[in-house]
Amino acid sequence: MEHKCLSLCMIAKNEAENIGRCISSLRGLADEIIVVDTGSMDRTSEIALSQGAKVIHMKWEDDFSKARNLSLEQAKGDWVLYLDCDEELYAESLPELEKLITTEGPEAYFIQIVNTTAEGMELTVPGLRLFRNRKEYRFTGCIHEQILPSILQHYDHSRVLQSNVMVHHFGYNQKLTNISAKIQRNMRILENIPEEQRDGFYYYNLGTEYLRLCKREEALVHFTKSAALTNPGQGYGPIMIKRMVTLLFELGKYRQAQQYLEHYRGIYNDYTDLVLLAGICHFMCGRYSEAGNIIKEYLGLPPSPQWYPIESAFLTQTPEELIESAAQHAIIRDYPALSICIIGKNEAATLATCIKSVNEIASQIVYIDTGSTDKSREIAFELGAEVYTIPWEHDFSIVRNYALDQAQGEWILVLDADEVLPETSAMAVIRAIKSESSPAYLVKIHTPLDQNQSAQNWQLSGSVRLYRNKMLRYQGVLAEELLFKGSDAIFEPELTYDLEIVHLHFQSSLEHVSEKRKIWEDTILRKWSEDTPVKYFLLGKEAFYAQETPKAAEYFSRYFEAGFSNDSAAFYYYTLSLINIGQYEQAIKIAEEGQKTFPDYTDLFYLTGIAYGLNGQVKEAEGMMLECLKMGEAAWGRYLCSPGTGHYKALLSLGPIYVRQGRLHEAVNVFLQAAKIPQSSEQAVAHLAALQGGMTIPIDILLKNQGLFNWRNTIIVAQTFAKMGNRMKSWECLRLLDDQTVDQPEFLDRMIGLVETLVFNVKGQLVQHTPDHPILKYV
Amino acid sequence: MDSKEIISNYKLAQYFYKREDYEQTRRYLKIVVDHTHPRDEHALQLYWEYSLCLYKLGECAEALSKVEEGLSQYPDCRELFYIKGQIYYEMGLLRQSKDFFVKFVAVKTSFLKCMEGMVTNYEAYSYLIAISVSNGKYEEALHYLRLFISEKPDISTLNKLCLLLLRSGIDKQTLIEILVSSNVISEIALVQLLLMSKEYGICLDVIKNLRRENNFYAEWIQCQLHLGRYNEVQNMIYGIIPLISMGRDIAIYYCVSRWLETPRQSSRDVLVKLDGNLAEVQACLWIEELIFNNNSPIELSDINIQDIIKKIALTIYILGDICLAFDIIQNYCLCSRKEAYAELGREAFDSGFFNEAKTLLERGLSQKDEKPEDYYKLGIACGGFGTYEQALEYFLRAAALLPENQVYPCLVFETLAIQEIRILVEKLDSFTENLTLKNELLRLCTLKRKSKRLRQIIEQEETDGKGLADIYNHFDVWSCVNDINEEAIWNINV
Repeated sequence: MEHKCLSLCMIAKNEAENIGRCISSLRGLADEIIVVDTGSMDRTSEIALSQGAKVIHMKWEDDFSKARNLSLEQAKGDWVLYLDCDEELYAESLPELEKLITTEGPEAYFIQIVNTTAEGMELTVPGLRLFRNRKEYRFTGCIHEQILPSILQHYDHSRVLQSNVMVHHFGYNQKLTNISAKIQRNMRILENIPEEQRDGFYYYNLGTEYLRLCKREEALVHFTKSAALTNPGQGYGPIMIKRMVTLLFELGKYRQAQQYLEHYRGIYNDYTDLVLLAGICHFMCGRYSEAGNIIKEYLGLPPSPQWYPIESAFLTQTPEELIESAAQHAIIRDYPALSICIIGKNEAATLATCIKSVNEIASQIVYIDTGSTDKSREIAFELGAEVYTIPWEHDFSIVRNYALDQAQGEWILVLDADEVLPETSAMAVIRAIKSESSPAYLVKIHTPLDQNQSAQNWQLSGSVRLYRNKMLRYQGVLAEELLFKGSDAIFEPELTYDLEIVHLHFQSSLEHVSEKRKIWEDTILRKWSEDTPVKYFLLGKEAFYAQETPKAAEYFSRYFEAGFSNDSAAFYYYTLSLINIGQYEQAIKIAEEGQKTFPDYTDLFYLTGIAYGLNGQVKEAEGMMLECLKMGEAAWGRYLCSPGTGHYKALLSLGPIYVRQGRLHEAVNVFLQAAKIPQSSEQAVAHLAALQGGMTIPIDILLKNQGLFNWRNTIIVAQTFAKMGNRMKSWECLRLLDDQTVDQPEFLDRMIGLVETLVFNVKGQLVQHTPDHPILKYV
Repeated sequence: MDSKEIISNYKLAQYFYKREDYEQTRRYLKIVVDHTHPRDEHALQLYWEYSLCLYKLGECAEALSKVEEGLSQYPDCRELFYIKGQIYYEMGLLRQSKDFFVKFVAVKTSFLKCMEGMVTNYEAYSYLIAISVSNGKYEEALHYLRLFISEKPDISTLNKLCLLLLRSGIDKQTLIEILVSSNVISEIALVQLLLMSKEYGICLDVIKNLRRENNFYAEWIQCQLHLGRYNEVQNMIYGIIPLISMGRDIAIYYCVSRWLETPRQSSRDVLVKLDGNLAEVQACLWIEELIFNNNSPIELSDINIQDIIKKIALTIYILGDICLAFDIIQNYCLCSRKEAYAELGREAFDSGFFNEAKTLLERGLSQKDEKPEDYYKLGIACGGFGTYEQALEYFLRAAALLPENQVYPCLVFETLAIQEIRILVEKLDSFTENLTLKNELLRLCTLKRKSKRLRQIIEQEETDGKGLADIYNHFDVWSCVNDINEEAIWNINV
């Protein structure tokens, strides 16, 4: 075999930490080493010289090609290998490299560059680094310089081959290198490139730098420009498409990502990563069946050829895990077509969650926007919805009916943009459609009444949301009613017991809620300029949900002044508003009046009991709560109700009533009952802990005897003691958990919550004595 | 800002650091840092000094951030590993802390030119020993001890670590063999450490093996007394009287050994032969009178004698004759039994017997006459034994009783933070890589260090620099004790 000389060419600046490692990785295979030092202040040159390199000094002029070409000028070997100082040749690649340079025919080789990221992931990208030493082969480009174009001027692609030689690149590992300095340098060089030289590769590089700076929007702009200017045959094409698609995912631009994927899967038809990305796109949109099918297809494909970039793990889940996860959510489409109708305005905070919750079951999603100024329309579009924009004419029925006009499915499911269909309810929707037992169904709407969304503070109401298409129309500008199409006939919807919609009322900001209330208020005032009871009812209701309770009480007062008393919800809203503003006697009066008309409406009895309790009428309060327990829960299909008033909420209220009367054992019994009900367990356990001071049984024994001993309850007890200032008991409780290992995130959150309570409690105690102590400002 | 101004600010920072005024140090150092490029030749030095200053100030979160910034620029800087290890140690994240100390000792070359060859590894080994002990890995602790010794550590750190090891479940014989064979510790220091850790049997063996009984007769007698071998004590004392004049302590030991016999024996025959002007002799005669004549003894005005009587009572209490100890205090102080508990408790605290102090002071607490100082001492004693939740309550009570005292609130939060860190780390072992937990620990760690720093400043002002350097004066993994090490590094550097 004829010996061929290999020249290792490098450029370096302040690479004393790396250059020795790089040169020695060739184990003497290079016949000459040429290092162009562009102004090192450290021992770079010294180390290079000690390893037998020829060192040439040049002033750095923000031009990589110039420096690289200077090294090529000096090279005498038959072949040139160029490496960066922060690279290292894998030892196992040495024989292959030796073989390549003795092979006749090829002019150049791509070698595999393995990049390690800070997260420990590996990205393998082919790079043209090995080529015959000819004076006509020179680098071009001030940055991300390339040699391939000059080779292709003389030979075609067939003379440029892939190889298995591998080089490890440390440059992207943020732990090891000063990334920000490198980015700044690269940006400076790129900015100085004249306009006429800015090609697809330029914009790809610029996009990459922006991506490294986490400026996603800017990166996308440049990648898009690059995609338009890039010939698919360019080496960087596949990785750019992959980066762009990933970026589009991060920006929520799924439809755009899907379009790019469809286009480029046709061009790079053997690049399997694009297939996987297509599956992921559907997965992220909530289209699990499609996602599962595509990812399965990906797993059946042969591996991508070597010239495509390979990433060790660019996903947090493996394809197999994704398939499993998709299968859990996937639904077989063996039911009539279902159209989802959503209307909204400025609903960016919740709309994506809303659409993703129904994407799997929907045949069509219709989103009617009435003039959003946020990204609502874009979000809906990207998630696959048909988006229509119509002017707001202060009439909800117009908008709802417009949505119905666009719906193609046999069935309609109506959602508000701030609502979500829980996964358990998706199956209930399908069951209801398939059973066809009714043309319309009344579904449960869960609404949280505070931002904490605590289980105790939910409201339950019924609403007709699922019905056959082309059968019903909306009527009424606000609180629109459904009527049979073409008549005024009222229909009786069938109740569904497992179909629930959750209202994400408080996931939006309070400002947003208030803004929505103003739209409604405006609509109401436009419709009813004169004083009518319905106007005050609607205004009161809106004020109530916007937590403007005094205003709500005022509106309902006017409603009742007009002599109306046939709406159960009005009694509910008014009583609750009066309680909230401290008018307990009036609340009792209104609620008791309501009880006469609606004797099976438990919530009114419950609210009466609450008002009695707050008014200091303990016996009466006790009577009401016992009555609630007898009555059980109110019928949600008939009344607006709060879950638990006929059950655990009554128990939780009865306990403190007993405590106030000194009937501690009865209080304990009531709390123990409530502690065994999941919705009230936490509060009941806290009550039990608070009661422990007056009891003779230690809390842990009490919990253990009642089968309530677990880590959650123990922390709740500890927290109750901490709040009460009994820290020693709090620590004691924690010791009960000494033998337990809990890996759940909730445990972490609760422990941190407990620690913060303890700090807060100690601070509170200290503030009483030394309010101005300097340490307090650090607590 | 020109280079002269930068140098001037740097010198000011150095000046204030030497004065332990870290607030001012930070002020001037920040100016220098702000005007230094991250790749400047002095940048690494500044990363280290600035991080250390922040750490000293208790700004743990900021210090950690600076260290990490420094490591991103200089990934192999061993000194930054060291500070990172310290911060993680303070956060209770011992696994992670250990990793950084191991890295510190693994990297042989310092990038800090002025420090090259000057910084030893023993500081890191001392932490590694403490971590190993805390994890119950005693073999590993001994391994690190050997390495620690090979680095020629300072005596103070060595003594602290030996005490930690002696109080742990480590194989004491192996430990002593290492210490004796390495010649790193003096014989007297070793014997004293064994006494402090109440290893009386081992201490007697060591004295015997050293063949220096005559040099350690006081320690030998103490051990025998604690082991209840009164006759051997008396025989020994009779044996050495011809050789040496009976020292003051020996007189007391002799008397105590006689009084603790059953029935009690008088020591008057020996006492009368000694110099009657000695305070110790007078104190013993006073007690003799109390025991054997049941007389209300004469009033003692000499303050030295008073102190000696309290010390004797404490010794008797520790040796187990509680009734006699209280009789002495009650008759001497003319006080109630409850007050006698408190009085003896204060004496125990001042003599470093925290366990006894805790028991006695707790029994002596009186709702009628609550003394904040007693609660303070109880807090320290409890903290010394790791019962931080109890210590916290005592400090809080002290703070409530004496609101004008500025130290007590600092102690409250220092102790609270230690306790909270301990609980979080113990209970959330599987979450130690979780960012939320790390942030919470860092917040608590900052509170701990801030409280400590503030306390030290107040104590310095109040006591003219003689404040407690560390409230929990042993190498407890939950408290920060390595101040001496930090000082040593900085001094070398500056």
